[in-house]
Amino acid sequence: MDIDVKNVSFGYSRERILKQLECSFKSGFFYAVIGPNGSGKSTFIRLLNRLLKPDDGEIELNGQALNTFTRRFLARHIGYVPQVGGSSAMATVFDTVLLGRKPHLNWAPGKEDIRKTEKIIREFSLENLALRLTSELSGGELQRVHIARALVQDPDVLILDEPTSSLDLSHQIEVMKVLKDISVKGITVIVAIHDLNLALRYADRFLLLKNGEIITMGDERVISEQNLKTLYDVDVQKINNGGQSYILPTLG
Amino acid sequence: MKDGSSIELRRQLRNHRYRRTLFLILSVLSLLILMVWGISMGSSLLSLADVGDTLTGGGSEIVKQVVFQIRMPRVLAAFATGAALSVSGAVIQTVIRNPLGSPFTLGLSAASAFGAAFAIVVLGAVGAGASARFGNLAQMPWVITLSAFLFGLICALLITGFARWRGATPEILVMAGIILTSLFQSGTSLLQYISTDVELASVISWMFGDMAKATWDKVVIQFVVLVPAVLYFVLNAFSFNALSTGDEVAKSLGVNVERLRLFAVVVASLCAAVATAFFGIIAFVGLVVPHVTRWLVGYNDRIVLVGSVVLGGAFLLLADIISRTIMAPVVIPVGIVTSFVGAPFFLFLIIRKVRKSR
Repeated sequence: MDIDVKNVSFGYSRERILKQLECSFKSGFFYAVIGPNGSGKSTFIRLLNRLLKPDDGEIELNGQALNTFTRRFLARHIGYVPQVGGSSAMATVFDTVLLGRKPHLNWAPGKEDIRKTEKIIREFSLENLALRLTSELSGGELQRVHIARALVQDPDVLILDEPTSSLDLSHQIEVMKVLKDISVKGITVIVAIHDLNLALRYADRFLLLKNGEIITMGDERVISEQNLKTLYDVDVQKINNGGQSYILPTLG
Repeated sequence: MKDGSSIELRRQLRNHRYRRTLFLILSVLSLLILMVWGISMGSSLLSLADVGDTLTGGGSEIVKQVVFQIRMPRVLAAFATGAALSVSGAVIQTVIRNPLGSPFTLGLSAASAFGAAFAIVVLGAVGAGASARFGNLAQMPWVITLSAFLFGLICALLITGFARWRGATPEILVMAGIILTSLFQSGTSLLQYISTDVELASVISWMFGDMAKATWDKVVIQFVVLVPAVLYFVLNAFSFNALSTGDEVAKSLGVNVERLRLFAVVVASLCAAVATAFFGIIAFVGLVVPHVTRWLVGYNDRIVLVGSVVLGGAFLLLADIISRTIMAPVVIPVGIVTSFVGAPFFLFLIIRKVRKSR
């Protein structure tokens, strides 16, 4: 599913957080939304599944305005994973993942919902944790549970807010690999992320956001030394090693 | 390998479900035993055989009178009251995401108490002044009940209005509850200050939650409210589960968060307001029983809600039996018993939780 953002502005009370954004997200790509703290990344991705509504402009899902859809319809097509630490709910891993079936059922989950949940729990190697409480999990495990819950929704688009923050290196890589696999399967993945090297390694498209405005959007080439200087006001070096680019800040 | 782990997962889940079903069956059984026991206990002690005879159509006239006119309504009212308070506590705890949620937290009990005091002191529903001012109407205890219920409802509507105005977030609801509680408590204090000795005594005696006020009329009204309410809660249990993960996730799962929270609070308030209006303030049931239920069956809202109905009913039945027997022949109000049992039990739950989190 494609998402088109057309001249979208948003603000809390009088403060303008996002200013006249214009961009498109195409099926099957892995997008990284990059920018300094307070640039409006989290706010922006919340607009994409109508957790927030734009003050001006329009967001379209496959050419149709987002606000013409019901919440339930959106939930069947767009999955959302908030930052770890946002959820304090007590539930077993199984029940938490099962919640992802909510948009597809009326009152209580049926056999098909249970089957899909079991399948995804196996795919994410969560079998041994299935009956553990989410409050007993590590950050990496919890993040996997949240992604599993969003995927059991059968979404066409998956939106994640800082999926790797608060994770150690191995869990960061694990989560990004999972997301890459998902995008290869044709699901549009959109993440707000701080870690430039992880983004460079796994994402296909990059959206650079500063002070609520899009600096540029495009493939790996937009992560240039000059653009990053504009973005963070820090000198960096882009190094190529074996076909893979890395960003190193030039300190001092 | 994959098949093996899949079978293992299925087995685990099945065992988990069996354990929960077993728990529910056992609690329903204990509830039934408590009901029969509750019917047999009292100032004229009936044997279990007498009770059994009477319930199956036999027994003497006097025993029938005692069982059907006095004990049965009392036992059923105790069940319905306990069930209503604890299920509304469970729902309120979930929708405001606050473990201290209960009908008290939202100010409902304070509002009902004010309503009763208002009927007694201002409308003069008690004592000689009543007939002079309002004729027979004001003498009827229904005036007090109705006023208590109406103010409980007004409190629920104020909370709803507040939530619609500022957004139905858990914080707003808790704050509204605190504000309304202190407002209604001040009102009650003022009424008590200007009341006569007789009125003051009536206000205080109304506030003691007491199942001796049970009649068949009240039981019928309670069930008419309780049954659809529980049905509504259970049907929405999966949405409640989603809501407990946070508003944003719940919305992203397609839940109409604000509407669900408002409806749930209104229906829960209605249950609690009816119980409080009929029988006075019964503390701790709505707070403690949902926690005990979660401790026993886990956190799946469907099971917690059904479990709260059964355990809440059983708990108040037991408390009522204790209140009738512990100082026999003196019967103490059940509200005092629930406070004495509930407060230390809540402390125990908190200590257990603190230990676990260390």
